[in-house]
Amino acid sequence: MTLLWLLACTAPKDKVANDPAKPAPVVSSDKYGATSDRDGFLSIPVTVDDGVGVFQVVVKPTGRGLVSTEYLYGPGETLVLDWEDWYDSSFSLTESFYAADIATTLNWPVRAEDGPLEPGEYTVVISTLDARGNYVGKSDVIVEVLTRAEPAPAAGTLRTVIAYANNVRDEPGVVEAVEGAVDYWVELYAAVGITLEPEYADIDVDEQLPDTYVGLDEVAAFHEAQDERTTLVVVGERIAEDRWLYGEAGGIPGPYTAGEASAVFVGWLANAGADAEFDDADVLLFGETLAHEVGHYLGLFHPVEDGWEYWDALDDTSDCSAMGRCESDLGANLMFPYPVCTGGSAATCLRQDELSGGQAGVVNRYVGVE
Amino acid sequence: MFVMTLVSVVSAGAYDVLKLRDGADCAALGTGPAVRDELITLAEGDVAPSYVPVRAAECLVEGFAADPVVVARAKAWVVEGRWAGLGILVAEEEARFSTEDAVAIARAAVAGSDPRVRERVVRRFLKSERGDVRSVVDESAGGR
Repeated sequence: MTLLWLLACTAPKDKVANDPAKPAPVVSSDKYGATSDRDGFLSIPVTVDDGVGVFQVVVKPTGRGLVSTEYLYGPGETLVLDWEDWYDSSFSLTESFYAADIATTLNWPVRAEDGPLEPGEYTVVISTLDARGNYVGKSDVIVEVLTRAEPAPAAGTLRTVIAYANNVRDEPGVVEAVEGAVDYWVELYAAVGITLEPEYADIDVDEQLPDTYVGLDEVAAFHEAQDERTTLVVVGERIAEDRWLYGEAGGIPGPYTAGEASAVFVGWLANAGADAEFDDADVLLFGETLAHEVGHYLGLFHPVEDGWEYWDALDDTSDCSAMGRCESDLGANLMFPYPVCTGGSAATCLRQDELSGGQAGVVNRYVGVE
Repeated sequence: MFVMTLVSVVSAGAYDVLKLRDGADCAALGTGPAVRDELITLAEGDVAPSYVPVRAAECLVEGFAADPVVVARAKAWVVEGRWAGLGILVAEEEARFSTEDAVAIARAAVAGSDPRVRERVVRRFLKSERGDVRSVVDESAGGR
């Protein structure tokens, strides 16, 4: 496959320029409309200046089509990332290779071995597709490119708004449980060098939340109304009436831009259990769920998927292939697919408060960890 | 290494589907009385993590709402404090039941002796799109 960016790029418009009189923000951004070429490809230039450590490219279709990330080229047109190396792989690096109707999000580098970035021009090639995965040319998209300075080890901050859906604050004990869970989440992220800065708010959405991959217009509007970029966790009663999700991230990684799916949704009811009351152990489990789901949003996959045949792309998480071994190796890992419990109460569940060095690196390289 | 003593006795198959943190597909559990009974055991048992009982009840409501055994359990869930969470989801999902069964479940909720459970469940039945169901709880709300 040859580089197509010279053919595909359209002139940026609606560009948000940074004021040169002010110090460069930790996260700088460009936002513009673009159109794929006649073959359905669009090349997005990313200028990496000295000191830039990570970038994130978010592309959203404006119509009904799908978008996916196909290639990343580094300075000198060096092929850095090829979707075909990963699409059918047993190892997961990013969801951006899988076509989506809301957005494709590439946060780069993902792992230590994927970096550091070299100053120069990178090019992200995305494709525009129809619902059946066929390339569709001349499709309009919105492109956002974010860059952030080199990560300072153990010094990043993640702003997070925890927003209650309608009626949730009125449920007995739920606000207290959420705040307790967030306190524990703060501790979990502090262990990997991230200072979580939580704020609480309300969002005018029904407490029966949809699948985050469907998204909500109100989520996009909520982000637009914020003074600063933030990650968003929406606490509803339940998620996706036909899918029964316990807590769900809006992408791996999720976009650090405003959008319908730019949030993590969680449902309080399932977390509270059959009696709809949170005890102390339920609160800890809820805190781990928040940290786990936002971990997905920051780019983490499960170290091993249930079924024991698929793994994350990190070298320092076990590639175990049977339940017993995986629970032994990874049962205390925050991103393990399920809590490992030995009895009938949440108090018997193994605390999942560990992240490997590789996993810590992934979350610290998320562009929103400033 | 970590043996799930309780659930291995009860229903490791359904448990293994429902325990996954990010989600579970009720359809993966299959159908039939054996699955139903497994799910009831998980919904009403002391099972961790705590979302497993709620998910088991959700799968029962999704796949077995026409089953008299499940309707009977739903009537119990909407009145008993230890199952208030299951009662809440039954009320939210009342549209999955026949009108006759939904009315019967709503009547049970209104007659419940625990005012805290009754308030939480009745408030959700009030959102029903079926007048027959709403009228049961409307009378209750009006009488308080």
